[in-house]
Amino acid sequence: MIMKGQKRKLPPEDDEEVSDRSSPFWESQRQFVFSVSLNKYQRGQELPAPSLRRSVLIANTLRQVSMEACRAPSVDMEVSQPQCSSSSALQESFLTAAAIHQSSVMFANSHSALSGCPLVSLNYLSNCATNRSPASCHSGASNSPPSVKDDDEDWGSMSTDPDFSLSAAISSILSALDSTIDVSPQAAPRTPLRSLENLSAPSEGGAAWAKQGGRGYGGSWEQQEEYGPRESSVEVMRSSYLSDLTVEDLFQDIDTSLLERDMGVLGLLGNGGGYPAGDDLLRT
Amino acid sequence: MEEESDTRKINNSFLRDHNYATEADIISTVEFNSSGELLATGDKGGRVVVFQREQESKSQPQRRGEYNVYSTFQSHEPEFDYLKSLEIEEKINKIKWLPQQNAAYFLLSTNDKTVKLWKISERDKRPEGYNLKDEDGRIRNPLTITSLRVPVLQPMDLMVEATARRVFSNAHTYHINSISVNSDLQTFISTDDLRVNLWNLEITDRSFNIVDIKPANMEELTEVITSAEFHPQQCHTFAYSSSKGSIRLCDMRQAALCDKHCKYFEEPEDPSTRSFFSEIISSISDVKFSHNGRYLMTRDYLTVKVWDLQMENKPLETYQVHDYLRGKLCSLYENDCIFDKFECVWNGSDSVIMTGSYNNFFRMFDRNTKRDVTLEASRENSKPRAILKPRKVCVGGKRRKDEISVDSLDFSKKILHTTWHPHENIIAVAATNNLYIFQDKVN
Repeated sequence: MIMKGQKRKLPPEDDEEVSDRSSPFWESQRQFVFSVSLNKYQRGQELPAPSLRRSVLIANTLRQVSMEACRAPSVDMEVSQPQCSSSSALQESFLTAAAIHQSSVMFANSHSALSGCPLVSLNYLSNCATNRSPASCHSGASNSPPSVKDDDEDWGSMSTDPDFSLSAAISSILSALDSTIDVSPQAAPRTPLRSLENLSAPSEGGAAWAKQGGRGYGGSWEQQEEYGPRESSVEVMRSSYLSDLTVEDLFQDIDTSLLERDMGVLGLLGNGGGYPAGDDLLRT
Repeated sequence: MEEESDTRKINNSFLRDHNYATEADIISTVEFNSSGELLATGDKGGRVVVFQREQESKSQPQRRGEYNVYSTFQSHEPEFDYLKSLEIEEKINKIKWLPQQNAAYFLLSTNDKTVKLWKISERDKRPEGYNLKDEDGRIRNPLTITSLRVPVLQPMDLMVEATARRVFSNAHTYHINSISVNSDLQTFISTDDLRVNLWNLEITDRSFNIVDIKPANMEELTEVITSAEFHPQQCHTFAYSSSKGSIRLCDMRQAALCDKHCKYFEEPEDPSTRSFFSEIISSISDVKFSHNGRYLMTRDYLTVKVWDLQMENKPLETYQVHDYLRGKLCSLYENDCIFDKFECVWNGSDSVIMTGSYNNFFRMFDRNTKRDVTLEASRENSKPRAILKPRKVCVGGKRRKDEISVDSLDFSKKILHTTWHPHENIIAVAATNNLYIFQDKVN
């Protein structure tokens, strides 16, 4: 059954399809499909010739799996947080994936949109964070250096949006990563970060950006860990390198004067998914 | 049905004694021409190998026209798109023959980005007796020429040469998955994940975009085009299939941009079989019109469906190719087999359909008798000219002697590409880097 030379992977005991949601295997299979899909998506993007059909099918599956998570049988208000925490795990993992991509693959233009994604996904992350736990999010925001003042304002305004839903945030993150597939020359968001790299503090600038947002998010996310049932999936998704850092640590080795200038030009996170204009940075 | 196997193992003779296969030799497409005299294969290394059927000889009537190598040429080379930092594979995705109009043969071959028109012609005479150069090609001293002669054509050893006559490039941002020649023999379509382009065979610097499903916001993309084909008789009609299991029939007379379909074929999903992978397995990997133009056949991961062009809401016939895999979809998703794109093919009379499966199995379904058979393309299990033995996959607990259990199937041996002779019962089946040609038994 398994391809030769490969070891069996989770779930070990259940190969059968489970369409019955109440089945005990359904949740484990859902999580399995979720993590496998995520890996596949990332690896698919790293291929020299990524397949659009494959990426779309995997992204659709991811979307469906995360929708199913939020539509799980338990719909009490109390457990709405753990439901969302698994979705938040989704976002966290996307963020991680995006950050890893960014630091490891610098020159392939097919990843140009992907490297722009941390900015976009951070946008929705901040929305989500504020929606669920405004206090912790703002505390995260206030920890950041003064240079991200515009950031705070955007988060503040977003939190007042009553219709903002978690599932929309998930879709947006998925679609933001979907847009990496578009390799047409119009989508050239690679250039803003490239300018950051050319500065004295190269990749740290961009990566720290992602880490900072992730950290702030991670803070609020951790509080929900106490809700047991979702913990296992959450643990799987958690990235270790974020857990040891504080915001101050991240910014200690960054020349914040450079960050100030570039954050202003990038238009921060409030663009609602639009890619920042790279031309400005190129000219500076 | 019984098949005599005239197994032709087409391998690089260099590798004949080895069990491994270089990736460049993996056959990626097979296609008979419209007379069945020629069979073309394309491989991952960008080469095209054309086989020609031997003339039937009276002295050896049992050797009913075997296929021998006729021409080999390098169709596509690997490229690198420097602007986007992307490799462009040289793998031949599809070959389509043009109907023969003169002594030369023409075929279209395509990789992910570029379609090429190749002319394959024979040369068996060469002119001799030039005035200005001698037989070695050296220029003669004009002062030594005292008389003129007319060059004469002399016979020579047959030489088959392939020349690229047209290169249709720079029209596809995404990967080309299919090409189809129109019945008007003047135009053809090339299809990538999001667009269908119409070309004139004579014009290479321009193509018309007739279908574009790219959303304004790429973030909203959820569906891609997987295959497209012209109607065999109506030069204005074509069909394209999607990754969501739908087929759209379009009429080019309606509008310049055929985004609005004329007919939309989709079968509603069966809620009892719904799973996380329902969408992936509904993705159509191949669409083929029947020769008579009345039916459409589609292949998704587990089934082959025959649609009546007059009935859009459900298929006319559904055939299970390997339903025993339905319970294994999770593992098949993990090892990527669920993304395999199997092709399907009609026989000449549209009475039998054929498609491939795993473990080098391929399946034939007789539409009239409703009988089906599973056959295997492998050297170990069939000798040349031996009759192929039907195979069976055991799904239950008890495995009979000749059956193979689902867990023993080799998923690395998949038959994705098959083709059927237009008139006779001769099929060509590509099993990784081997080509098998099977003929119907002659009594």
